[in-house]
Amino acid sequence: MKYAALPIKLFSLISGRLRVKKIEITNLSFFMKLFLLSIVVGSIGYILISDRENIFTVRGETENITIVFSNDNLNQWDLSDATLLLDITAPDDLVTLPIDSFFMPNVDTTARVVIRNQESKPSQLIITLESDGKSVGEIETADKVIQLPRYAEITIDINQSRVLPLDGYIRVGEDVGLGVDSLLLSGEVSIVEKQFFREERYVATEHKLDTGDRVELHNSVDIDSLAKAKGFIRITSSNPLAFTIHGEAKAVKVHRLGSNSYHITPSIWPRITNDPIIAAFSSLLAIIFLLLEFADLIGKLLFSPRTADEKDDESSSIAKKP
Amino acid sequence: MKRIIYALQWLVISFSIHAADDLKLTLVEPQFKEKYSSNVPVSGRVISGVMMRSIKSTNQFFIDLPTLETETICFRVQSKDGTYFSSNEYKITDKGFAGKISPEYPTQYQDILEGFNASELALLAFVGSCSEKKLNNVLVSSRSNETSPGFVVILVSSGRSDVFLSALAANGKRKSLKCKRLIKGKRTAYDTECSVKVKDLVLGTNELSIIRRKGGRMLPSVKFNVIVSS
Repeated sequence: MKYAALPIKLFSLISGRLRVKKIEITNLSFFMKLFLLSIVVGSIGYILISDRENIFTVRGETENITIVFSNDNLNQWDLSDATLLLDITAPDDLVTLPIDSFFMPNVDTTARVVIRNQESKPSQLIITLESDGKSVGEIETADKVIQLPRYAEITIDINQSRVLPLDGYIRVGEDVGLGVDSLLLSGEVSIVEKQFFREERYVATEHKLDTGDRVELHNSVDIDSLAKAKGFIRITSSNPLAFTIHGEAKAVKVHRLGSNSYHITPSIWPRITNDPIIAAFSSLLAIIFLLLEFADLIGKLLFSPRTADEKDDESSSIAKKP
Repeated sequence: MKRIIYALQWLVISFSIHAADDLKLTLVEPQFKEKYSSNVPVSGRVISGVMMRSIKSTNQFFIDLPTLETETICFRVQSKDGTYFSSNEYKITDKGFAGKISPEYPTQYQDILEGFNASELALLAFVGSCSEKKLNNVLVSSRSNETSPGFVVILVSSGRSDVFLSALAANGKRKSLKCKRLIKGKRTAYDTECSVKVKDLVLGTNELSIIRRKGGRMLPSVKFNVIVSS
């Protein structure tokens, strides 16, 4: 409410000062007050809208997830007991990987991870790897290293829980279309924002995702530039893929069926309630207004010149005296 | 003397350009069929477009027409996001003509079509009626008369499967190429782009097939012919 009264106060201050032009010292005081007010209001505005470091977290359940790998060492996947297909023209030539087989991707390799539920059989995890380079990466087993070609498909029967760590450019879900059979099922986006001066953080925005959404972290709202993120997929039998992704970004882009894609960005309103600097400045502004109002009142009482009526009253009272 | 030769050359060139402009594919039915909305029905075909990339994307489309025995061709245009779709049959007036020809295209969405970038609009021209279920002989289309040489692009509605293009190379061996999944934006009408080098295609009929793998299984391959005439 105190902010709503700001323009009224400013107007009354200015119009009041314009009426009283007689005393030079009052004009000086008016500009001093205006200057002080401008500094405080400007500071609040700057703190309110200035760029902050935001950590975006996307978590939920999905049937598919896509990652373009970075060169981080986090990207090592345990592929024990997995089946490997290396040549699409020979789909029956499969290689079964032994226990302690680890996949190490090359930079910019794309991995599409899809879960396939089968009736009366364990669910299957299907990982498709492809690269514009010569190889998608390599698989290290206890006794050899398998150099992979530009395309490879890995199938894992989910008999036990697995965790696949991720570091790179991540997309969750697929946009609904003809032949699409795996989607994002549910999820939420939360934005954790850094306070203006302190290292502490607060939850700035929370946003629910719908089934069928496609979600990406972006570096900018204006241009299509994916932000790097870290996260993991937790795979358990007969369940969809549980994922958590964290990344420093500017927005989360959501592609939703039946509407244009939109961005989720941090709102400035949680800053007012959560950032102590803004709360302090707001209190300061309120105190300044109070003091200005008080000073204005005192000034009127002590220094305002008497009107003609007041003078007449005074002279008539003197004349009446015996 | 040189001036006369230049003038004659100019006359010949301008005459040939105007002659090509006048010779257009005309619509079989007077009513042009097109739709633009948020829920346009998408064609169920796997092949959504076969085209040469153009240097400048305009709304004047061209079809590389070979000498054909049939009189009718079908020309389809659809946007990747599924908002625009047109499908019309055309009559070939001059059966002896071979080369790039612009079909009659009285669209009321010119600005919208020009707004789609190179990968956002698929053109598909094929010999025969639009109602034919099987795609046999496909012609190469383009969004302008000035095409960038190098590749013929095949746009595929794969249902998010892994797609490979199998083509018979000039040396007689069959070659499999991995196609590229389109990532950006909505992919309602098609989601994959296969590029085949023009030098790998022969003048005349080229047998191509689309191989798809999804969820650990092979899907039936889609065979079709691409006819290159120039």
